[in-house]
Amino acid sequence: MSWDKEKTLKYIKKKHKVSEEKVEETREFMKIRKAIAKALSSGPKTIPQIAEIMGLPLADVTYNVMTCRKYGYIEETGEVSDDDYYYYELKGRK
Amino acid sequence: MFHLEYDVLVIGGGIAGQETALNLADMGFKVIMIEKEPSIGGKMILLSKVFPTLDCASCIATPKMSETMRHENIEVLSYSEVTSIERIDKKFKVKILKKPKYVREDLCTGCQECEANCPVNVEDQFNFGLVGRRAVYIPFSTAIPKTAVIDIENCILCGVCERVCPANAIDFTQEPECYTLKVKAVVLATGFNLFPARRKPQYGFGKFPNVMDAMEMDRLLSPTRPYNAVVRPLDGKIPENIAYVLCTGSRDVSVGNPICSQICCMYSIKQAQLLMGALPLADITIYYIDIRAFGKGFEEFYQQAKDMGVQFVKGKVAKIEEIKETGNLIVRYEDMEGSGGVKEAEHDLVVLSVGMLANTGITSIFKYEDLELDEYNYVKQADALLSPAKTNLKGVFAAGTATGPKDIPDSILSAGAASAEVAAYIRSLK
Repeated sequence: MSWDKEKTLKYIKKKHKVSEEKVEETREFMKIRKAIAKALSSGPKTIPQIAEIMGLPLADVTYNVMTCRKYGYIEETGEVSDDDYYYYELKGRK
Repeated sequence: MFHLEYDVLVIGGGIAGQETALNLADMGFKVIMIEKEPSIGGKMILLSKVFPTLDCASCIATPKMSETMRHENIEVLSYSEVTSIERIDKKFKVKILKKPKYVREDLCTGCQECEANCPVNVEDQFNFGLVGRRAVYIPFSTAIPKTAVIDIENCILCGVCERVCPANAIDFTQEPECYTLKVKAVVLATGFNLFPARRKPQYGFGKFPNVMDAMEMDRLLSPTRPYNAVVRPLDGKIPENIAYVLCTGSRDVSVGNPICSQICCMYSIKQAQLLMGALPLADITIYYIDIRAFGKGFEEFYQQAKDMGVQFVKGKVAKIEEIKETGNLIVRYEDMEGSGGVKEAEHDLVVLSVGMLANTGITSIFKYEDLELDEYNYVKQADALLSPAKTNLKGVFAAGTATGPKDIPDSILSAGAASAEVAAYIRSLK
């Protein structure tokens, strides 16, 4: 028997309205994720180095780097800089 | 299988609720447990280790959670809330609201394929906002039941989860379900709330990223740590000089909570010892007004921390300020020993050892009768010495921190008392 892979989504779309704000937040996170990946494409970097490239506040970059780490996009190299920061690099997941 | 009549309703799936339910179920009573979160486990499952033994919290909590879930005499309803309790003769009519998870628990295998593909990112409440989580998520790796839940308020209805789920478990047609049950006794194991550190604005929590509360630090130290290391939330720097501010929001008349949390001294000492292990070069300073090492092995644990090099400074912290350039923090305190006077010290991370507040959400559910609370809004014990689990309502009992601040061993002890009193009460009904 074939299974309609979006059959119940149609049901809730009639009942539940998604706010534009949530969609925008999701787009923003995807942009940040790509920007982190781009910053790391030239090699491992510390969070302050990533923040400098991205031009975002440090605390926001830490949150997003750690979130990307949790989702398996990046990982720490195990190396620590002279000023006590871990280096992060891209992992296999795109 | 879900029934409409049980011997006991246990409200809350934390350590006290689980212990009460297991004791009663082992005695042959049929128990229904209601947990408001998607997983049972309460606060203990989120901790790193427990004091004073430094046993792994998950290693103790997870088998108990699993036993609770699998026990033939216990039915667990997660993501559910009790909306009303009404006494009818010798029983209680209980109304329960089960919130939709939009995932079929009978089909979900916990593979997390949905989570891996969901594009949404929101703050992970089980990691206290230190990292994000998806709109479809499993609360934490040892969650029980280990089934996904969709946070519909943050879901953008893109349908990816439904497309990728190999078990066809996503079900957006789910609606809230209401059940009416009959039980003979009720146990309130509703736990406590952590003191919200924002209520002490002079400490800068929520304003300065390097001021965190102790629950966040426990997450950083736990086996499922969100950063995979102890680093500062501001910039990911490995801290070298960490301060603890004890009694944040407890023993503090200015925030209306004059009582001792019973735990903040010892969990801070526990974290200090764990930090000495994780960061051997770091300096740890604990600012305290009294160290209350009252339990078995607590004094030795305190002395051990001192021997390891943790600095204890008797001083009430008045204010914390951030140095903008470095993110370091200036702790201004009253030195109550030594030379005395007001002093300042610089630290690169500050942990606020927050106290406990009563969880008052349960009080309004009783119809036509009032549950009596004590002056601090905890459930009032009818006889704290002889019948510690009895409340003012016949057939309604309390376990764990519902009656006041307690550490984990005392919560388990109180759950033992509650189960004995419930068993005696139900047998007296016959």
